[in-house]
Amino acid sequence: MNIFWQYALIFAVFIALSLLNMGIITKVKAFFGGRKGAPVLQKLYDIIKLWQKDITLSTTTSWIFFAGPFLSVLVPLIAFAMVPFGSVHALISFEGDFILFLYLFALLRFFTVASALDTGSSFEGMGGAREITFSVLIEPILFVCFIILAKISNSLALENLFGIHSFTSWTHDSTVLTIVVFSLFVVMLAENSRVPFDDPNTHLELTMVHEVMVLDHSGPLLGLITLGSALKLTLFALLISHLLLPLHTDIFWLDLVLSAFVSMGVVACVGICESLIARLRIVAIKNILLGTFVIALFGIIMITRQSL
Amino acid sequence: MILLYFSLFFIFISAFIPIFFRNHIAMSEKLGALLHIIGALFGLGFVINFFQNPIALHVTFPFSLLGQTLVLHCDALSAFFLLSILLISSASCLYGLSYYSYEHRGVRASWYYRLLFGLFTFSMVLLVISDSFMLFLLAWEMMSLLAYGLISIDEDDKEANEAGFIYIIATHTGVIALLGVFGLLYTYFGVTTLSASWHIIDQNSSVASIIFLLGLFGFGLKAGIFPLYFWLPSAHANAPVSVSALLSGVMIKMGIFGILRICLLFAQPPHWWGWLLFIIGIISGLLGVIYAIAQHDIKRLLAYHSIENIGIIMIGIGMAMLGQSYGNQSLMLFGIAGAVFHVLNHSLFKPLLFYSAGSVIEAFHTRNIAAFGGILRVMPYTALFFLIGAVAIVGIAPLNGFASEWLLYLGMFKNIFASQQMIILLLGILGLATIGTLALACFIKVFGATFLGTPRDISLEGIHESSRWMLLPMGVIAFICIVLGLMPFLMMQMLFSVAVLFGVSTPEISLLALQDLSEAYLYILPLAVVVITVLWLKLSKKSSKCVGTWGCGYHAPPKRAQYTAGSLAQMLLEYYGWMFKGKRHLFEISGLFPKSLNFHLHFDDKNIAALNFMGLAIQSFANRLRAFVHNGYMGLYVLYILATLIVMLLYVSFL
Repeated sequence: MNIFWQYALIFAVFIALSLLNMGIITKVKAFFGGRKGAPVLQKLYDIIKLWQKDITLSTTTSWIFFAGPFLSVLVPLIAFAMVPFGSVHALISFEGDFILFLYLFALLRFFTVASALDTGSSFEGMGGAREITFSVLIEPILFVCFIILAKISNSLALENLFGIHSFTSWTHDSTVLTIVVFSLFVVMLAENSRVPFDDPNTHLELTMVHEVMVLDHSGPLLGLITLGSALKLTLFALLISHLLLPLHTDIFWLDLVLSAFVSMGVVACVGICESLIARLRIVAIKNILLGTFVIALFGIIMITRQSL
Repeated sequence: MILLYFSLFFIFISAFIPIFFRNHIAMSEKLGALLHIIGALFGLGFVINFFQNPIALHVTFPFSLLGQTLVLHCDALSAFFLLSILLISSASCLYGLSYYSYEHRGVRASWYYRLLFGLFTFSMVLLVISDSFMLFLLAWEMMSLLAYGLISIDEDDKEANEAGFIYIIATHTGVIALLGVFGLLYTYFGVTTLSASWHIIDQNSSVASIIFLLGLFGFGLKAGIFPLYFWLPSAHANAPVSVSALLSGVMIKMGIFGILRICLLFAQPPHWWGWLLFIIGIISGLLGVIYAIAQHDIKRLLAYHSIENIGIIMIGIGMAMLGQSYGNQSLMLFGIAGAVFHVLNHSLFKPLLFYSAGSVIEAFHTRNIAAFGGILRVMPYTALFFLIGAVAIVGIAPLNGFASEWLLYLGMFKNIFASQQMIILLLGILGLATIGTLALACFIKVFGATFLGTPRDISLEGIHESSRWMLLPMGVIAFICIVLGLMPFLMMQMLFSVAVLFGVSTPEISLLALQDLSEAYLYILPLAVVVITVLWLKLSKKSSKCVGTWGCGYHAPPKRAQYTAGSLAQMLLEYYGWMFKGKRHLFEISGLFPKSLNFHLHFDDKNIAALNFMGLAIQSFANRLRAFVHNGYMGLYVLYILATLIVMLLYVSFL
């Protein structure tokens, strides 16, 4: 198959998968709640509906207001280009690219908060303040995870950190890898505003983190944000699924399907978490994130003990 | 070297043009700026020419200065620092044309300012190429004194005078330490020039640690490392903006230049020096950014960010020194390259931020962030330039701040599992990551509260975009920031020749990492541009501005109900509450008809408070001692004389 079409296919699968994953979460939550739940592709219908609408802008906004939604789609797509999928290599890969990966998400965060502040609404400011506060606690966890993975895979490229080293790693460093998977899972919940940290579905804006920042975005802009958050969630799920899936068959289609299925499983776990755990108080979030950071640090200690 | 002489000459006479043509001040201001820029262009020509073939130039003049032969020496390090001096001084010159013109400040202030400014630049250029100790100290002293003149140039401004006073005391304390360094070098090793004293001190020398620590103190005071930065925030906040930009962008880097020169003295530094520099770097970085978040004066905030960036640079220098002492080439290369690249980058984006903040201050006559809001609508270009500066200083891709921090990250990640340095590099990575996210929080706060939303205590009516003379230097610097961000490999050769000076012998290939970054951008940018253009064309047609911001049910929420800069930062600052000497005046509502209430929240710098406390304690101790010794009894004074005589007699007879 032509290399160009291969990558085009992968991007298409990624986008489709991310829409599907959002549906899976709703279905899992509906199952636990004893309901039937919205159709699996509900997000897609929402986005199509939103895309056909017009945009109503607040009179206080400027061009910054558009930057947040644009980047929220663009950044996960670019970041996906650095991540392997199935047995296909990452499109962009070089030594130290995971730092670029993390700082691209920092760029996204900067402009998401900026476009929230652009409206001059007190609620959106509140969301912005929470977002930047929690990010200070989340970022070190990610760095610690990447340090551990760099040690295990003996490489500094994202493609290898989440590459096929994991079969031998699971046999040798299974505890450490479990810690990494756990930490990444917590980070995924926190970064994507899932339940123990944030609940986009409450009726009260005062308690939200991410959702309250997009109160004034309407029509296609809201559609872009919805799509962007789905992409981001699936990107994180894919990262975790690379660690969980220690084997490659080197058959293009089979690997693609396997990866997709494992990421669906990860996302189903998110749904289960959401059903079983109640949302934390904002004050408690700090403790959970610090605790995860400490656990991740233990991982570093273990991995260096082994090497001595 | 001829080009450099031309440059020095033009900058020198540019300082005197306005004073001689006072009667045609409008013309002479522009002429002076023109000459300054011509001088800078000559200098830049020299730098570019120099890096084609970076062999150190050495010139000995046939006459002496204060008992020492006058020697100039220009190596890769000097040339690198010349780059930022010349760029930023000429940008400040352009900015000053409109910002500090005779129309606003009067004829006397105008020529006085330009005299000091020209000589200030001259002294810094002289400093980086001077080789004999005397010339170095002379240029250093000249720079420090002229900076004092520039900080307190407005005689009626009481705050500025006070800031200048603190600065001059701090800087002279530093000079005493430097005299010690050069005195020791001359006494113990008999050298009189910097180039002759390279690697002259070996590890076992008894004075090695003394020289290193004195140098670190003297130069660190100027650079503003923890805990010696106490003069920096007030001096930067009260100087005119065009001067603050030069102080923060260039002058404090002379401290870094000095520290690097000190590092060059030693062949084999002990391990703990590297640890010390590294840890000072992490602490300066963290403290700088956390205190910055708590500021509500926009210039003070930027000043604290200088401390943060000096911290990042010190992390790089610490890495290089660790690499040198543990014999780790790659740590050295990435450390020194990242540090000097960050020096250049910080001297670009910090002036950019100061200039755009200065335009805002000029228009609204306040420095209080809590008063601003919605300025983007009346000053779109200034806002854009501030945004570029903010993204660059936070160090997020794809601007230049990221490129230099990326080098530091890469160096640390590559060597983190190399045994002894594991803990310190782990601290470094986590420190740098935390500094990055905190800086992001801080600049979101400043940018959001200043340029977005609706105005709080200011009126936007009748305010226009600032003049072209002010926008031009901002535009040029912003352009350079973007170019260096997207194509950091342009700096590869310069960085490598500086690293070679520090004894790096690995082939140049290892800095090719910077090219990887550009290659990645080559894929990313076209995609980004296409997606954003398509979306923008599609969506801008569909949008209509017709309603106010949703007020959650309130029809017309007052503009004071916006989230303020203080409230944006508050949650974060609570986490770091122990770093502050905080004062809060909370209110309680009581009764059926509560009166109007006020709410104050202060976060003060605990480090400066502690230093202040120590200073007062020493002062009161000295007072008491003096009162005890010098108490006015004649008999006791005679006793002192007698006691002294006896002690001297004993000394003479027994020794």
